[in-house]
Amino acid sequence: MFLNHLKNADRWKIIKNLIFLFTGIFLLTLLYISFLKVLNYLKGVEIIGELLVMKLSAMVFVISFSMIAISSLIIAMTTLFYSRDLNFLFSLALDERYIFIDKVITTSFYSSWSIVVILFPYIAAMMKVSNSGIGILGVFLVGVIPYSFMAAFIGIIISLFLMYFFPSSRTRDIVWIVSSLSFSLVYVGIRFSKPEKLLRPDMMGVIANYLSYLQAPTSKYLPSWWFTKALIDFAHMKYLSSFMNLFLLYFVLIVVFWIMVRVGKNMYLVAYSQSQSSGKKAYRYTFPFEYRLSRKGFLTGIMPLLYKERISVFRDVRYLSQLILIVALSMVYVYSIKSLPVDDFEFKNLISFLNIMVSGFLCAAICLRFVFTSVSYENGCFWIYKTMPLTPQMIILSKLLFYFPFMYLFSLGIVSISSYYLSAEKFMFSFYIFLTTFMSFVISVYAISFGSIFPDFRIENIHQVESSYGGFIFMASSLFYVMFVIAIFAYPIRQYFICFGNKNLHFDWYYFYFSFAIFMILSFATSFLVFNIAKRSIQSIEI
Amino acid sequence: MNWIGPIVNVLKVSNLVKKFGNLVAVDDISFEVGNGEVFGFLGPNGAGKTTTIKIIAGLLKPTAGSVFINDIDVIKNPIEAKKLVAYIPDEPFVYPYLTAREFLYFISEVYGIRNPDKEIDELFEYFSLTDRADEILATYSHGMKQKILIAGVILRKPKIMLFDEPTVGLDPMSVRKFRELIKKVSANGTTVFICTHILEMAQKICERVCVINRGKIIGEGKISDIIRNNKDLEDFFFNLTE
Repeated sequence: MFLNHLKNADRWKIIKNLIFLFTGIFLLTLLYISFLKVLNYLKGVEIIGELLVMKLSAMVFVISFSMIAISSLIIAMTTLFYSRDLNFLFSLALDERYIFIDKVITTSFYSSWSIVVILFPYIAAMMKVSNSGIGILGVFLVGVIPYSFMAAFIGIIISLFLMYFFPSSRTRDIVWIVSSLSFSLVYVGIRFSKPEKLLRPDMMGVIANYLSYLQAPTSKYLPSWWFTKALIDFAHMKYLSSFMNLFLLYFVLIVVFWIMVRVGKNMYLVAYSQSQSSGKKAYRYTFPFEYRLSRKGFLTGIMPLLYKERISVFRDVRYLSQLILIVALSMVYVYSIKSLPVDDFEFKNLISFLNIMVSGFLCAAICLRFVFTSVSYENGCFWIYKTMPLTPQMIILSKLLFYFPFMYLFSLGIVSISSYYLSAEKFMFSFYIFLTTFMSFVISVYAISFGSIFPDFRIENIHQVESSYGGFIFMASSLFYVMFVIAIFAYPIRQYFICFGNKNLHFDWYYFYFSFAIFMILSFATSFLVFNIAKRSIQSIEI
Repeated sequence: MNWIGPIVNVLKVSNLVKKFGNLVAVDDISFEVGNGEVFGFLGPNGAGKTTTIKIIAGLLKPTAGSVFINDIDVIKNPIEAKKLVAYIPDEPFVYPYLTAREFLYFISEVYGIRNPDKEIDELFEYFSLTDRADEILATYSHGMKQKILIAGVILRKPKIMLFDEPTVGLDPMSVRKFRELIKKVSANGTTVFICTHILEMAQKICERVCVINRGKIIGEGKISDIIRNNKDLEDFFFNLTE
């Protein structure tokens, strides 16, 4: 399948994948440098240096183990119980154990590969610090299979029990929300604990003390500890002990696999059958305000579509789980701005100006998830719109009108709160609000338009649309737009600050008006252009 | 070119061609369907039935030819044509997070039907869905979704109804109710166009049928004439397609 994917990849797909690949390599290199710095310091601590390295490794592996298990639990909820091919597979004369094992392998792979990739820089840093040579990489490759699969199996077994005892899609929804909430809390928690302090040399001692007291990650019953031991013992040339720990990992993996298959044999079919009967939640119908407005002549024709959009979005729990993550992301961003150690007036204003760029990027990223995907989100139901007497602009506008207020409020919130913390000058503050209003609108128009130009009504997972060619084009266009806006206002804004700081200088508004005119022309012309292409695209869609 | 012509025409398809790359799915077909007529569009799998009905419904654009509904060109004036047409696909995709009641109200609102409360309740009653009316459609079975779509079509009272394999997934009682409904709406002047390969059903409800194979119309006739000249519709169908 992978080879076919490569063979069929067009030029744009290859370019896109190469960009992602190089970005990934860059981030992994950054991780490697950070790990190397920390490990080097810890190893240099007198007497307990080796112990600290071991404790940190144990901690890294125990955290990764839990992450794979949680990730596997979330993914298993879909792959084992709600995957589209399951109906077909169960209709075949196949032993359900084979279906179960097939889904187990898929789930284990998808839940662990990214975490395993992130572990590579850590192992490379360990290899460098311990001078153990390439052999440690071999131990890692041999050990990471039972380590990651065991974690994934644990998640799968939990998902089986959950769906067996609490069947229905509500269970899946609750798992999604709780997982998103816990990920967000961990993320916010880490940020609020001010990890940047750890980069200060005087704080390294605190890390060392903290690590030396930690006992839990080195508990001998944890598979992550066996993996850590296999690596550390190999680095210390205790090959037999390293081998024994690897053997223990494989042995326990076989035992866990056997238990899982036994559990699966007894529970999977029942859990699967029960999961198909969704929680029959009833909703009392009340005449919606959208219909009232429509009948009063306000956006007649579009308001009913807005109603359908509102109900669909607010009842889809996947949106809720992602909203939780976005709220966490925004909180962390605003907190980071608040914690900036900047007192200089000019520098503060520069940051507040560049803040517009960051909020534009954030808005584009969120639009990619919600607005860009909204046309493809119609999925198989798009035939309903296509057979209704609706113009393409009614379809596009209904989605734009629904999502834009949220995107606007998000951008406005980010920009106004961070500008407040940066004590932005009054005129600039109003100007930022104005820019944000326009930029969030233009980015939303881009998102809905590119989403209409590159729809995919056959996807199983809406995230596939985000990483599609169209998603890439949308992000590139939005980022280019944001960068362009920053570039055209850079000069007049700089002049404004210079003049603001020196009352003897006179600010020439000419440059400002000129930039403003270019900004308006760019925003309107590009929005108009993509919107019109989107209209034609919707018109010509054949399903 | 094949040409079949009846009475007062609501649907007029002329020289319709649809190509997908090199594949000719519909190959220069022409037919007309009269007011209040129940017309069966029969054919084996891959014959071009679904492509034809999708062109009439406005989901596909023809490569050549024209489709007129009440003298309105479907290709040139799709919005006006769609006001007169109701279509139900073979796969009943419906909004999963809307309840059945919300879905029917949504249909009513889009098509400007005022105060549909009584009629919606009656439709739920008719299709035995009253106790599930306020549940989201994601919880519905294939057949139940099909019933909701049929209810939506009935609610709209369009000039022409297009059904693609309407009884797949329906239980026997619902199939009977569907047949009764079709007879009722056609008696009220609504034209019904049904794509199907279930010949028994076609024989029971259609007044006239047309058989398509490999994109071309290979036979047509009134059911009464077909039964007179053949053993039954199945016999007529196999004589043409084998």
